[in-house]
Amino acid sequence: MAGKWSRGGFIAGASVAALGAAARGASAAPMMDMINQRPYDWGTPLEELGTKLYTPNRVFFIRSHMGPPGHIDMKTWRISINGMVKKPIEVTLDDLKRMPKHEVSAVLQCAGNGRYWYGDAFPEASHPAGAQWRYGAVGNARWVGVRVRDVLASVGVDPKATFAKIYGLDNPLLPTTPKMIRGLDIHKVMDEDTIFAYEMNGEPIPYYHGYPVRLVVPGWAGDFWVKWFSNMTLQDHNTTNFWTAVGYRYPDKLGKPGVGVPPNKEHPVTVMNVKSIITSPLSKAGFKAGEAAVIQGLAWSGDGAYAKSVEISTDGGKSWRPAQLGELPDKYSWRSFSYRWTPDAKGAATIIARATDSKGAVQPKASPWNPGGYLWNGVQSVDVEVS
Amino acid sequence: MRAMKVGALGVLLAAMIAGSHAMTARGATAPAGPTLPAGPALKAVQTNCQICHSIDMVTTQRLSKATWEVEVTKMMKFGSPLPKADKETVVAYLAKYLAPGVPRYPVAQATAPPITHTSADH
Repeated sequence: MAGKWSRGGFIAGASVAALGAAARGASAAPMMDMINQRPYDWGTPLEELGTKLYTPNRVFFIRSHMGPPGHIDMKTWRISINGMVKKPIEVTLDDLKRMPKHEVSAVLQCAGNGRYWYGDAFPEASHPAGAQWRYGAVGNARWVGVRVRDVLASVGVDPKATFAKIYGLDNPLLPTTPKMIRGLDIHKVMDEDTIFAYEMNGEPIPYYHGYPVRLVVPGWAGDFWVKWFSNMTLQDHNTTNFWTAVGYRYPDKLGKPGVGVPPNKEHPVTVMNVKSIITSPLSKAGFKAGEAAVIQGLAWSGDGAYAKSVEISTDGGKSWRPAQLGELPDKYSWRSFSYRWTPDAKGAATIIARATDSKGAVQPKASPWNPGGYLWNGVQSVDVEVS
Repeated sequence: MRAMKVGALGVLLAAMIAGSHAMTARGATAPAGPTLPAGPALKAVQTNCQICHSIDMVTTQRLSKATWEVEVTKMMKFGSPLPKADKETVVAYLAKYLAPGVPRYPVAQATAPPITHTSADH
């Protein structure tokens, strides 16, 4: 069944709790959901997502494999393009900024966003291992940079190249831990909206989000959006790196919940699927019979599709009514939805949102269990009490 | 409540290690954790798993024994110094106390990190 939202902020240990309260009072800085303290796996709380078209950089979710690089010296910083090319090049940030700009509004979502809910949907099975994200490993931003294909135009890519091996400046703490390297299909490399981004929501990419350049791969899951981008090697095969050949894979054929699948019977997770989240209401109280209330949230989909409609149920899924949709600035963007509800009776009610995308895909009650816990897009429900 | 004690201990240990890695959470509430009995297995988990990540990466999982075996094996390949002789004990311990069905906890919160474009203050 759908995941139930629960309010965060669990406090354990008086001294630590007091420290938290003091820090909040002193800085009035926004709070984030701390899925893993270190390296940062911090999600955006639903209250912060609200119905904002663009997620503020300050609370934009952070997913880390290795943590940020220790130091970036901009005097010597370059990105490298090499491998199956006629002329390997190195490009400075100034070089990039002199090239034609391209802007895209796109949802960035961790492939494992919602992994936590597999544990609710399949309680008897082994939960998928990994960061236990609930809703907040997602955000929408305006990304500005240079098309990757414009940069590649000057290097003479060998037509036999099928993949780009890509990585950033971040390194594991231990030499035995595989570096986070991704293999990106050449068709997506050459897509008109795949960019080397140097701006996020109108400011330079923040350090935690990949300063100075992050690869932006709209419509595809976040593991391709390499932060602190440094290298692209064109080659005629996909990388055998752990994070591509073993991690971030989805079964070719779904098996029994809780049971692992060998990597050679899986394929890389790429395109995101249709999804919506309810960002208001988030608590049971506040509803009165005969008084109008607003149900709101955000909806999106993956490569080549966008959220076309959102339906709301206030009776636990027995009946559905269309929500009003907000602006859609780009096919890769999310959009807000809003539904005015006047409860006619006192008592418990369950609100559910269900999105349908432009290709006709509809959010399921629960996504099928898979070993990595990827691509959760089951509908969200919120229990409320009408007084 | 024992779970809270373990959670608080976890965050303190993580903070100590995080400090050396310059990644201390600011204004963090403690990650919530389940009841993990003290003993050599807990000590092995705390000593060998927190080099690269905080304890919550372990305590938020609810895995079968087979999956714990896969995860611990992977982490040893990645460089965790867990002695081979302790592996079976640790896998059995994790599979017993962090199994599907063990209650899960609300998410802890922390102050959002500052927006910066240099590594100077990290």
